[in-house]
Amino acid sequence: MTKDARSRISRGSAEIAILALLDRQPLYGFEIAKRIDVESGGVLKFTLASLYPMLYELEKRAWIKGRWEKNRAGRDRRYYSLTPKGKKQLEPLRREWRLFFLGLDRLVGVKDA
Amino acid sequence: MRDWNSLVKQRLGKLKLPEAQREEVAAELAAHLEDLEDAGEEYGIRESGTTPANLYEETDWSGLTRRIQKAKKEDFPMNTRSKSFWLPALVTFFAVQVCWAILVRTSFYAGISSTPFRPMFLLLGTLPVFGALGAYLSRCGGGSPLSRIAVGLFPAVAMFCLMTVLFFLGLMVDRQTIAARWAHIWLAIVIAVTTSSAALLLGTLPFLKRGEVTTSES
Repeated sequence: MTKDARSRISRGSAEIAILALLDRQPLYGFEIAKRIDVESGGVLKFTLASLYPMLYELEKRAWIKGRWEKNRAGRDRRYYSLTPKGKKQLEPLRREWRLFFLGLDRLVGVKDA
Repeated sequence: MRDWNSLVKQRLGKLKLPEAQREEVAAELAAHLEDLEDAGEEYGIRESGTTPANLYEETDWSGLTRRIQKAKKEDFPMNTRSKSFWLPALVTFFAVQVCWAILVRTSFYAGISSTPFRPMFLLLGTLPVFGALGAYLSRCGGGSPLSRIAVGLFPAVAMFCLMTVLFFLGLMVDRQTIAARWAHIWLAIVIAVTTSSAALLLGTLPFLKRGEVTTSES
């Protein structure tokens, strides 16, 4: 697999992971990173360097929207929520990834590995 | 607790964004480090082996600054049609015009202007290169094979439109002369456009199959 393909897959998986999380509820950066780490069983990890450029990129596409609010500890945090445009993107992305994994499974049997 | 905000601001020194936006980015990244510090044992150290100090030291801040700037920067508002058709078509058209001007000029100074069709034949010989250029640029912009052909043929189509306009302008200026020779003029136009189209099309052919269409519009 080329570096470019790997980077596109990793970028794509990060995108769908963020959108799927925000589809459930608005979250701020640290919570997003923590949830993704925990819910993916540590397979997907975000750091400062990978998370925020991705959030800003999604915000520029108007798929998500950020706004400052106080968290439970009373501190200002930038909460991101999914926009209607982002919601529209999520389903086709889910379909694409499902097809991708089905194809990959048929090819190399990843489920049984 | 460390003053993460001022530490992050120092590291983001080269971030070229409006002041308010830069402050906001710094505040958000500082908040992430604060939260990591708060989470301490529970999350940061136990699960990922990362402390805020480690994360702060190990982050490639110049790379992060570059990526944030790229992500925040507004894209040039060019849609797929502009990228795959209009821009390559205009570039190809102007390239043909420049080539034509050079050929006419060099033929004139070389003293071969007595054969007026020579620059035209020379231009005809170079047209496949421009057809190829147009198709290649269109492919780079994510154009379909059809738009690659359209871009390749654009100089000939534009030439046809220009000649048609000139013909009707000529009719208005000197109706008698033009009307008397309209059949010859149109025959010349049709021959010029057809041969140019064929030459341009020849150049587009290698670019119709190879390369995937990559639409990047979001």
